[in-house]
Formats: sequence, structure tokens, C-alpha cells
Amino acid sequence: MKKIILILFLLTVVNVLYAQSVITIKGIVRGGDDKPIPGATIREKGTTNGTVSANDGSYQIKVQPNATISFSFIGTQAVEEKLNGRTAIYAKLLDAKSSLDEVVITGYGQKVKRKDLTGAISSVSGSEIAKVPVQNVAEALEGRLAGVQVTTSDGTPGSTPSIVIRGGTSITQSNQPLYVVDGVPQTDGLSFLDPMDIESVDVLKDASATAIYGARGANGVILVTTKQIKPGQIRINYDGYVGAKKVTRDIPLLNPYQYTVLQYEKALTTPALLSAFTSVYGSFDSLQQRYGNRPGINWQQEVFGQTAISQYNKVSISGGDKGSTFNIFYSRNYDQGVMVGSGSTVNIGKIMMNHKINDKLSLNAIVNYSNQEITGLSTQTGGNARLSLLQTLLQTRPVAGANVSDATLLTEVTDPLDPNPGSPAFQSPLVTIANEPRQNIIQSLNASGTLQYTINSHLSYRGLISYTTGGNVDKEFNTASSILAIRSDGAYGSINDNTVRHVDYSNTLSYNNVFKQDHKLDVTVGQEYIYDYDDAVTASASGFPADNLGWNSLQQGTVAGFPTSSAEDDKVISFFGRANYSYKDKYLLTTSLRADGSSKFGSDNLWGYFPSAAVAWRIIQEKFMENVPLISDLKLRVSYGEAGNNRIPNYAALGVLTTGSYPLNNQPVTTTYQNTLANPTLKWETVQSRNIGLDLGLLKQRITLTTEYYDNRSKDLLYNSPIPASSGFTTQLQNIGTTSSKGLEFTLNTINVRTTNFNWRTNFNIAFNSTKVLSLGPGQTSLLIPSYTTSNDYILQVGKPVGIMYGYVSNGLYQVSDFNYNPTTNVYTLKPGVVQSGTTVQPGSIKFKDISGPNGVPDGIINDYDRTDIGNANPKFTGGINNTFSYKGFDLSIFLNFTYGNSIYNANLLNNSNLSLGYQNTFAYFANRWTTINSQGQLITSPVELAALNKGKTIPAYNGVSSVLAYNNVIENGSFLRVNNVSLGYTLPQKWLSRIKIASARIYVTGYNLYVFDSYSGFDPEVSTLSNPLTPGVDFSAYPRARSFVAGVNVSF
Amino acid sequence: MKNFINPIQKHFWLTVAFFITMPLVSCKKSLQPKPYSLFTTSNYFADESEAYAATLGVYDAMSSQNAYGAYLSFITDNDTDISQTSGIDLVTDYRVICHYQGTAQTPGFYTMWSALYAGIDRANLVIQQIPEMALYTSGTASQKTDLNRMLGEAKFLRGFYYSELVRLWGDVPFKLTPSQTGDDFKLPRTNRYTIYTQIIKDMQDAAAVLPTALPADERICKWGAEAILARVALNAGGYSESQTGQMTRPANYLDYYKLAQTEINDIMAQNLYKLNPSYAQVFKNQCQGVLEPTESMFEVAFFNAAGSASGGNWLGVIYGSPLTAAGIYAVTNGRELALRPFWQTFATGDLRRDFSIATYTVSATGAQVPLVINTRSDETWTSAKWARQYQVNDILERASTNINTVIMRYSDLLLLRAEVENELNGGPDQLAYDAINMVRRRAYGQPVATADPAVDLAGLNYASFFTAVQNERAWELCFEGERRSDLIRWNILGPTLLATKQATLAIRSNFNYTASTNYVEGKSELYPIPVNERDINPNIGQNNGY
Repeated sequence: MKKIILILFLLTVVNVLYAQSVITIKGIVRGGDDKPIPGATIREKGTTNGTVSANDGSYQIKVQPNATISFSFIGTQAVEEKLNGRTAIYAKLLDAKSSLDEVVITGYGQKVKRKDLTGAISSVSGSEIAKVPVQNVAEALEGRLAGVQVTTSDGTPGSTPSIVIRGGTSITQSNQPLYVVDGVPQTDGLSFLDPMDIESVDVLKDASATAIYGARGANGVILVTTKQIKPGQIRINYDGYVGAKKVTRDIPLLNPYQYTVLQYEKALTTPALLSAFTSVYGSFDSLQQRYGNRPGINWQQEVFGQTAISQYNKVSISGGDKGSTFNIFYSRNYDQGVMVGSGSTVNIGKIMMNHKINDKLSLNAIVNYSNQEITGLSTQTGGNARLSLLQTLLQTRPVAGANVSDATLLTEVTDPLDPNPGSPAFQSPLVTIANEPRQNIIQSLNASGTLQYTINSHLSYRGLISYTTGGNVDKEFNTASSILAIRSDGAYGSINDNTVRHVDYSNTLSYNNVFKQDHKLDVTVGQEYIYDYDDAVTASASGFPADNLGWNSLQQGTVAGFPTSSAEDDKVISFFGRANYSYKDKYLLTTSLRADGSSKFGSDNLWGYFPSAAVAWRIIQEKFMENVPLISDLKLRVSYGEAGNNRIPNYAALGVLTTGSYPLNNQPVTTTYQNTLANPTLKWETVQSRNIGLDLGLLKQRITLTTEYYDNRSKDLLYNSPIPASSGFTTQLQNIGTTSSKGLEFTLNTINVRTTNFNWRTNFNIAFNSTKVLSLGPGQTSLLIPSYTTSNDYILQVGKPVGIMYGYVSNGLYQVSDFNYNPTTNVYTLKPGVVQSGTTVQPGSIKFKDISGPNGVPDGIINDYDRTDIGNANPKFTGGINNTFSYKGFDLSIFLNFTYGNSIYNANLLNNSNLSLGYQNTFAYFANRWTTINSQGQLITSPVELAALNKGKTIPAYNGVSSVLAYNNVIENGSFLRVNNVSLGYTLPQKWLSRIKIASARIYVTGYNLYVFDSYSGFDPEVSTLSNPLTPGVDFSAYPRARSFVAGVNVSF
Repeated sequence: MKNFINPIQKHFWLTVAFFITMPLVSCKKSLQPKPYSLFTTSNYFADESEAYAATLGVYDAMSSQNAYGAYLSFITDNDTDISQTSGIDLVTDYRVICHYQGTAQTPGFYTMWSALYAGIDRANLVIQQIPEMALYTSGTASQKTDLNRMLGEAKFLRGFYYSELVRLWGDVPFKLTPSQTGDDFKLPRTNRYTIYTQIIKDMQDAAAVLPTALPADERICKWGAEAILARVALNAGGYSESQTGQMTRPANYLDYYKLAQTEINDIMAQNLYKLNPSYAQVFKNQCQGVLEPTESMFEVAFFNAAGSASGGNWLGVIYGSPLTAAGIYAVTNGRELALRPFWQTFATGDLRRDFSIATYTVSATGAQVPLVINTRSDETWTSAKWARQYQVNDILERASTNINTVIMRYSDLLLLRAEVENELNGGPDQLAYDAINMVRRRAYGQPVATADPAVDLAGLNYASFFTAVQNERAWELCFEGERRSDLIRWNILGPTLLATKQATLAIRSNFNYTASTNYVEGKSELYPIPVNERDINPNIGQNNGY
């Protein structure tokens, strides 16, 4: 504080000294958004005379009458204005974003101007991210960057989106990119970051850029820079918003009347069932009258129907002088889920300090603490295809019965009509939610320190130590009334405490010099050591008394579960070097090499080496371009690089024994056995990436277009690959083959209108990607894999893309004419020559296409030879378009994103397509099914009448299709155009604010996920519920997505 | 601050060198992975206790619902003339398989297949590792005996698991070494009789080293191994479906019967085993965790880890128990239905009928509510041998139980003896009569060792005695996992299902019984090779008709 006062005092003195021979100039410095910029530097050109703008952007400076005044501020383009007799200058500093001087981070602290880049790097600014009211930074990147595909698996509060860069050539368990936040590589995504605390996000897409991250760079690298501190007065900022959201769609189900007709049809097979049906729902004749207008219970509305609230508050204080700056903030982000009882709260506190000890030595320290508490069930809780919460929600019956109020269903602990009383499946989902509390607390405390030392004008050293400790505590309780407890041994609960420690320690030495003016050289060498240690403890108990304290007092359970504990670690030791050379700023060359040793691999394959090289030619600098005024920038980039992937479980290369237990005389005895098949030959997965890029700027950078073409090859893919179970194991982690990913990306930024009061800018990006399996190891041409069940329904095939859905092709229904009918036994037998099914079929059963047989030709029997490609999860293209308008204090942005040409595997529909289970509801799709009852409710057995009744029907009978075999009817078009967000803001005029001592204030409203144009029948076309990158596009028990509106304010004091 | 900064600046290079080299001091060593929570195979089998844990790991493979807690014990035994699974749908594989509607894609087949092969690989590892242990050659006498016993257990279990694979799938991939990277896993199928030869060798090798005393726990003893071998021999010598769909038995099938005879005679000569005087008490003891070393010859142990539905046996909850409402007893499902035509075959005075079959459900108050014959309720009669009322911990064992699955009982062995003697002598000899009559006397509540003309069989020829054995096996061993295999090895599965259908139609024209409609001769006697296996192993082929 004292220092600041001293500086202010000195500035005043200087000003006074100048006052005698000069004139006074006044004005306000504003940004491109017309917001005043405090702390901007105003300088009389060619002198040391200068000042800094005040909180309201205003300044006063005394200068020579003929002076030129320069205005500058971090992150903006500097402006120079000649006085020409004026005494007031209102300067406008446009963001450097549109400029070639925009600074891009390329890894290990290197900052490169965009014009000097050689690799493929896309960036997005923090102000864009802040417009989207999300908890996770990654979610805000959706559609913003060409070739960066962000998929939130569904709308679950607190869920972590998956980011796939350039189609994700890697197919390991995780094809998430590496995240590096303020120079520190992160193991677990970005959930610990405050989306409002982002300065910029840079995505390294090609291996020439990512090779410097070696073993972890194969899936791309996302570099996040958090808000940097601007020296100046101490400022207090407040950001906040409140929002509300609501689900926009239901999955259409049978209405109460249709539901009762289905149950009636099923009950007709057995007199006992029929009398049970009639006693509950009444006679067939009365169904229309009883249920035709009865609303019944809409379970989706009961569970997802609420308007959920979100709230965000952040207070920060920042400031400092040239020697020392700081930034401290606390934020709280509460996001209620649309599902009853679910939500996520994130609390983040951060302290950042920069201290310049002297001209040579500076220190930076960051401490960031985040705590996320996720409560409530997930739609997938309950496990398998039959019992997950969403499935039971879709299946629970909508009407209680003829003389029973439907409201009784809401509180039903078990359904009295449940066909399996011993292990009932049905319970009011509201009861499930109330009786299965869940709490997941994710904490992360990160402390990092960076020391920078300038050895001489060419050589500098940077050392970084980062320590993260965090963890994940999962608490679960199932009261005696919960369906899980009912199906199991009564109330039970557990706490799973997982602790993570992460140390990252790196040293880099940088040398840069300019030789003979034209030769610039910049060399960095470094070393890094990374250590991860995870351990986990669980405690569980069951046999709780009726009155208990849940997970807060597990000892009340009379039966203790086995406690478990585990620990594992892994280490990476690395050495790397990078050299940038440029000649006359025209020819640029970057090369790098990294060596990584990882403890995860076999002892012969511990070390991996990752080289890269990239060249760029700034054609614009050539003489012959001087006469082309239209073109303001032209650069060609070519690169090659290799990066690796070690995202596999620890110890996969080692033969390890798992422990189990076998009881002897009712006493458990510890056993050991191999649970996984060791693979000592495991080695790095390597991605080789080739990239050609062209940067074009027109009309003084009013229009910029970046085009990238890439051809990536992933070799030695690490995959937990199926192996014949006759080996004793069903899968083994292997290096299985090679895939390629090729694509084209375009990023077009235009400034359509730029006037003093009105600005209109457009950012458009689109990416075309195609993946292909090049080989799957010797002698293997295909590999089948299961998605949401154990049935193989995806295929990897040499020559085809990754993400091909595999199954049967519907060929209509079995018709009455396909059968011989025996009127005495009432049995339909397939005529010879008609395609046989593996199981007994009836008229109305689905008929599949006989595609092949053991000899490669159709054999008249439907079996596994008749499966084929039925869908492709890869979009033909994806992209986004953002329009920003500003008029005086108003700013408006409209952001749309789109995906075209991909298939969705609607597993919800498949899983609900066999309707044999008693009293279960299903999709409205089945209302017009093949039926065996006429409009009077009579069972039709006569072939002629049955054929007439079902003329033209295309939807199979209630028992006419299996719910486990994937077939083409459940594959849907996933193309969509989403009005992702529309944000309108208004910056309050300075004259209003100065009276109440506020430096600046902006208010805004944002609508998020406003509308989706698509043809998908499920909740949302943007869905992929499985984390396996080989089975993208499955919609199974996804959490529905909501439309939300927020209103917020940013105030600076 | 100055005092701290200056030295850094002064000795800058030294400082940098220190920081850079610090992590490298232990570079080579620090990249050695250290699995804190797992044992590694490289140094395992160092001592007897490790060999013991690994041997129990071979047993562990069968103690799950994928193996003898549901699938291999009860699901593979349905539908027959004794029982069928309730409900008809194409969704749940425990119904689809039982009703002969299973296809290669029915997940349950892969589940069972994988469980058996997992057990085989564990056994292969033990069989390879124990002889390589220093203690195996240089240990004390008792250490050597113990290790030999473990080796014998692993060999027995390997033989047992292979016998189950062959019984259910016919020719299967065959592997006698523990799997390791570099092995060719895409094995074609090996002829079942080649595999039987190895099974017989494994079991005989095992019998030579296994303890001769009756065991005090569920580990296998010499006599248990011999009894299982006798049954395996009858399966090998019986009919099975060939790869092309014919029901055939080997030309030398009598050799297998002779092998069974040798094994049975060896056991009988010891005079160690005896029937519990009460048929009912056998199963009540099973329900209560009371071991019965003189009647149970081999059993799979179960333990229901607290709070988990997956650790225990489904016997007594889903299978083998009448439909019970929650109340005084824990709720059950009653999935395995007892067929009324079978109930009708019991003779008057046979105590096994009313003990084995519940013609009632159990209400919340524990009362038996009769399922009346004239309302179709007889179509929901269930097996009742492991009813809730016999279980002492049924409230705790609500979702799954600690009841062991008994694979071989002494009465089963007696009936095998009767069958073998009849076959080898062209008609019943005294040994055959003694064996079957002991089983019958107990069934009627009579002293086992005392001849009883009212109960005893006499004066039968080869064919009528064979029929008597077939019936006796149904009455004695119903719901215990033997019936479908018996019908297949006798080559009467199809006719029996058809006859059962006729019998149900005689009761009622719409009696629910679908097995005979879906059964296909020359297809249904074997299970399909699971598609997940076929998808990864192009050399494996498929059984007939799938």
C-alpha cells in the first residue's frame, strides 16, 4: 500500500513539473466493448511522460501542444493519436484478439505471437467462456473451436464433459486431452476451475505442438491460462448471476389407455393373468371410458419437471504495483439439477501472488482450492439395463387401477403388481430418489510456485513445483424402503474415500537471441518429473435398524461389510528440448524432442521418444506481396510430430494377483487369482500427426481465415481388447493396431461492421473429420465390442471408421402367410423356405434380413452371420457460429453450434422394445404395434382375421422382438443445430456510476440451450452415455438436458 | 529475503544442477512399478500359504451366480419333465435358455463359458507353479503332502470344469497351460473324447494324492474326486450330440462304464459314506450350513458377503424355495416350477414328494396357502427342498443365501452304481439292487440297511431296472441339477419333453409348457458357442442348428 501511495505521489510530482510549458489533455479510454478501461497507459510519444487511466477510464495528461499520444493496455492493440489541436481524446482500444499480435501459449511457458506460430492451435478467450452459465470450463468450449468436439455425456449436474480433439485417434479407455492449467499438467480435467476465472484457452491440435508433452500429448493438449493480474489500484469485483432451467422434452410413452390395452393383450394368454388384470383395471369394455381421459402419472414430469435454480457469486480483490501483484477470489456456484433431489455446488477459493524480487528474479505462487459437492441419484443408478433409474422411470405404470387413485403410485414402495415379488423391480421413482441419498465430494487443493530467473539478456531459467492433493468421497445410503435395499439384504450404506496426490516438478532453461538482425533463435531445454499416488478406503455396513443415521453412523448397521483399501502410484520422468528459429520473420522453424519414461509399461518399453518439426512461411512478408493490399496476412504451415499416450491402468504390464475369498465351513478364506492377463509387451501408443495450415487475412485483418488439413495416425493403440474367454480371461490390455484420422478445419473470423457506436463480428468454424481403422494386428480384420450390455453391437473393421454400430437389419414383420396354422393346437409353424429365426417366432415377430451364413451366402437362418453395419456415430461435420454485436453500451452475442450426419444408438428404445414383463409401460412407438386383439378385445386366432387386423403394421408385436439384439430401427439420425446461447448485456454509463463510486458495471441476460433443431426421438441428440471411445453415440439412461436462462451482473469497485 | 536470494543468484548453476538431478538420483529405480495392493505373479508361490490361497482361488471360480450359484447348477437343469422356469419372454436369459430359446447371443452362455474357463486357467497356473516351488521337492514331509494335496485339488477342479464344458458344449477349446501373452488364444475345438481322456487322467492323478479321510470342510477328498469321476465316465459313455447334430455314444462306451464301476467299487470298499436316515434332514442341514461329510461328497461353498446380493447362492431364494411373501420369512421368487405330471409319478408313501414339491405358497404369517389343482394354480407349484422355513438366517440372507450347492450326494452315487451294474451285467445284480433299494428305503422312511419287501425292487430285467433307475434318479435328485444331463446321456430328452407336454395337456389344454415346442432334436442337446467367443475366435465354429 505504501508503495502505491509513493508511486502516485511521484506521478503527481512529475505532472506538476511539466505543468508549466504544456497543455492539458482529457479523455476516457474505452475498450472495444465500450467499457472504460482503467489502468491503461497513456504516454506522450518519445518521452517518459505518461499516466494511467482511472477507474472510470478517464485520464488527464499534460503534454506538448504538438505531441502524439499513445494509448496501450494489456491484451489490446495500442493506438496513437496526434493532437492536431484537440484537447480531448476519447481513445478506443480494440482487443488484440483480432490481431496477429495476439499471444498464444504453446507449452512450458512459451508465449508466441499468433503470426509466429508453426503449429495448429485454436484459442478462445475467457470473456466468451464467461457467457455460458456452466460449472465446468470444458462445457463452455462446445462448438467454439474447429476440430474440438465437446460432448457432455448428458445433463447430469456436476458431470464432466468429454473433449475429443480431431476425432480422437486414440481409442484407449480415455481419449481425453491433457489439460495444462497455468503450466501445470492436470490429471482430472478442469472441474476445479472457475469458468469466470479464465483468461484464455489454447488448444494444441497437431503433434508438432503437443510433442513437447510427449507421452501424454497424443489426444491433444488444452492449455488454460487463468486471469492474469493487471497492476494498478486495488479493485474489488463482483460477478454474479441467478438462473432457472427446465427440461424441454419428454420421451413419448404410451398413454394410460394405450397402456391398459397392452396389459390386457398380454393378460389374455393366461386366465389367471386376465382375472388379475380385470380385478385391477376393469373389463376391456370399460378401458376406454375409464382411462381414455385419465391423465395418469407422467413420471418424467414428476421427476424432471421442476424448474431448477442456479446461482453464481464471485468476489475478487486484485491489484498491486509493478513489483508485486495479487489476486484473491472466492466463488460459489450452485446448480440445481432438473431431477428432483440432484444438484451440484462448487466452492472455489484462490490466491495468486506475483512478486518481482529484482530485475532478474521473480516468483509466482498460486494456491487454488476447490470443493464440489454433487448430490442426488444419477439416471443410471441401479445398474443394469433393467434397473437403472431412467429405465424404471420409463417403465413404471402410469395408472394405478380402476378404483385406486393414481396418486397412490407416487408413494408406492413396491408395486403390488410386480411380477417378481422376490426381487421386485418397480418402485415409485420418487420413493427411490428419496430413499437412496448420494453425496459425492470432490476436493482439490493445488499449490504451485514458479521461479523465473533471468541469467542474462539471452538466457533465463524457470522452475516450477506443483503439488496437488485432493480426493473424492462417495457416500451412498439405501434405506430399507429403497428398491436397492429391497432387492438386496436390507438397508445398506457405504463411504468410499479416494485420495489423490500429484506432484509435478519441472525445470526449463531458455535461450533466445537475434543474430545479424534477421536470425532469431529461441531454444528451451527442460526436465520434468511427475508422480501420482492414489489410495482408497471403503467402509460399508448393512442390517440397519429402521431408525438410523445413514452414512453418518455406519456403525449402526448390525452387519459390517469388509473394509477395503488400495493404493497405487505411477511416475513419469522426462527430458525435452525445443528450438524455434526464424529468418526475417518470414521463415519459421520449430523442432522439439521429448523422452518420457513411464512406470506403466513393460520393462523393455519404459522409454518413449517423441520428435516433431514444423515449418512456416509468412508469405505476406515477401516482396511480391507488397502490391496486394487486399491481403494483410498469408502464412503456410507444415508440420510433423509424434506424441504418446499412457492413459492406461497402472500395473497392466505386470502379472498381478487379485484377492478374493472362498468360504470353508462358513468362514471366508482369502484366495488369490489372476484377474487380468499380464502383458509385458505393452508399450506406448503413438500418434503421428501431419498438419498443413494456411492463415489468410484480408482487408487489414477484417477477415481472417485459417484452414487446416491433417492426417493423424495412431499406432500401437492401447485397448482393453476382447480375447477368447477360453484363455481364462475375456479381455487383455493390448497394443492392437493402427487408426487414422484425417480432416479439414476452417475458422473464419470477420468484422462485418466497425464504427464508433456499432460493431458486428462473426466467428465461424467447421470441421470435417473421418477416422479409419488401418490395421488390428496380424491376422485380424475386425473386432467386435459390446456397448451398454454384454452383447457385441459395435465393430472395428479394417478400412472402416471407428464407431460403427453393428447389428441386424429389419425386413418387416413375419406375416400370417409365412406360417402354417394348426387350428386344433392353435400353433403357427413357419413354412419351409421362410427365413428361420434363432428363436420360435409368431406372426408379428420382427423379421431380420438374411444377409449371410457360414459359407458366406444367405442360409435361411438368422444368426450371428446376419449382422452388418447399421450406423455410424461419426458426424460428417461439426461446427459453430457466433455473432457478436455491440451498440454503445449494449452487447449481444448469438451462438449456434451444429453436428451433421452422425447416428445415435437409441438404446432406451431397444431396451424397452420387448414388452413381456408384467405391468410395464413402454414407448409410444409401440401404440400401433402388431396386435392379436380386435377392437372388442377379442383374441383373434383365425389367420384371415389376424392378417386383416394387422394389415400394413410395421411395429412388431409386444413379444415380437428381443430387447438385446441391436437392429437398424433403433438407430436414429443425430444431426442437430442448437441455439446454444444468446447473451444480451448492457454496460452502465459512467456518468450514472461515478455518483455511486462504482468503477464499472455490466448487467446481462443469457439464454442457454434455447432450442434444438433435430429429428431425434430421445431427450437430446447430443448424447453419448458410455465413456468407451469405441462405442460413441449410445443413448442409454441419459439425464435430460434443460433450457436455462440466467441474469447476471459484473461490478467493479 | 536478500540473504536468501543472493546465494541463489551466486550459485545459480549449482542450484539448477541440484534441482535437475534430484529426481534422477533414483531414476531407474523410481520407474519400477510398485503394486502396493496386489501380489505379483513373478514372486508368488514362495511359500505354502501362497500356494494355498491360489488353490482356493481355483475353487473360488465356481462360487458365484455365474457358476454354481444359479447358472451352472439350476439354469442348465431346466426345462425337463421335473421342472420348468416360470414366465416366458425373450428378454431374460435365465428364461430364454431354459425354454430352449437360447441363441449364440444369449448372454448367459458366455457368462457360464467364461466362468468355467477362468477356473481352468487358475487351475493351470497352480498345476504349473506348485511343482516348481522349492518346498515341493525340498520341504518337510508335511509340506510336501500339503502341496501335493493342493496340486491334486487343482487337477481335480480342472478336470471337473472341463467335464462341465464338454457336457454343455461338446467339443471345446482345450488348454493345459496357464495363459500368457504370446500364446495363441484362437484355438479350434478339441474332440470331447480327447478331453475326457485328460479329465480322467487329471482326476485319477488327483485321487492318488488327495486325503483319504473324510473332509471337515468343502475341500475335495479322494472319494469325492472318484465319485465325480464316476459320473463324468457315465457322461462320456452316454449319448451326446455330435458336431453335426447326431445323438451318438462312443463305440467303447462300456469302457467308461467299467471305469465308473472301478471308481465306485473303490469308494464303497471304504465303507465311509452313509445315507442320513432322514431325506428331509439332508436339505435342512444344507439350508443351515451344517456340513454332512458322509452324505455330501462334493459341494460348492457359498458365502453371502454382507449387504451384497451378488456374493451368495440363489438357491433358497430364486430357486428351490416356494413362493414366499415377505413377513415372518424373507420374500422369495419361486422361479423354478415343479411340474404336476412329475408330482403325480411319486408312489404313495414316498416322503420325497411332499418334501420336494410345494403345492402351496407361504403367506406373510408363515402359513401354507394351498395352490388348488382346479384353478390352474397347480401350474405354479415350485420346488421346496431349500424352503425359507428351513433357513436359520433367512432375513439376513434375503437376496442370496449361504447354502452350499451340493454337486454329488451319496444317494446319487448309489444310483450310479445301480445303473452301472445293470449296464455291465446285462441286468441288475445284487449290488445294483442293494444300491437302489437303500435309496428307496430312506425315501419311504424305513431303515436303510434293512430289507423291506414293501419298498424294495426285485425281479426286474435289464430294461425295467434301467427304467426304475431313471425314475428313481428323478425322485431322489429332483431340482439338484442332474436331470437334463441324465436325459441327454440316455438320449431321451426329446421324447421326455414331448411326453411331459402330453401329460400337461391331459391335465388341461392350456397348461403352460413350452419346452417341447421349442426343443429341436440334434440342436437343443448342446448349447451354442457364445457369439462373443465366435466374434474373436474365427477358428471355433458352431454347434449344429445355431
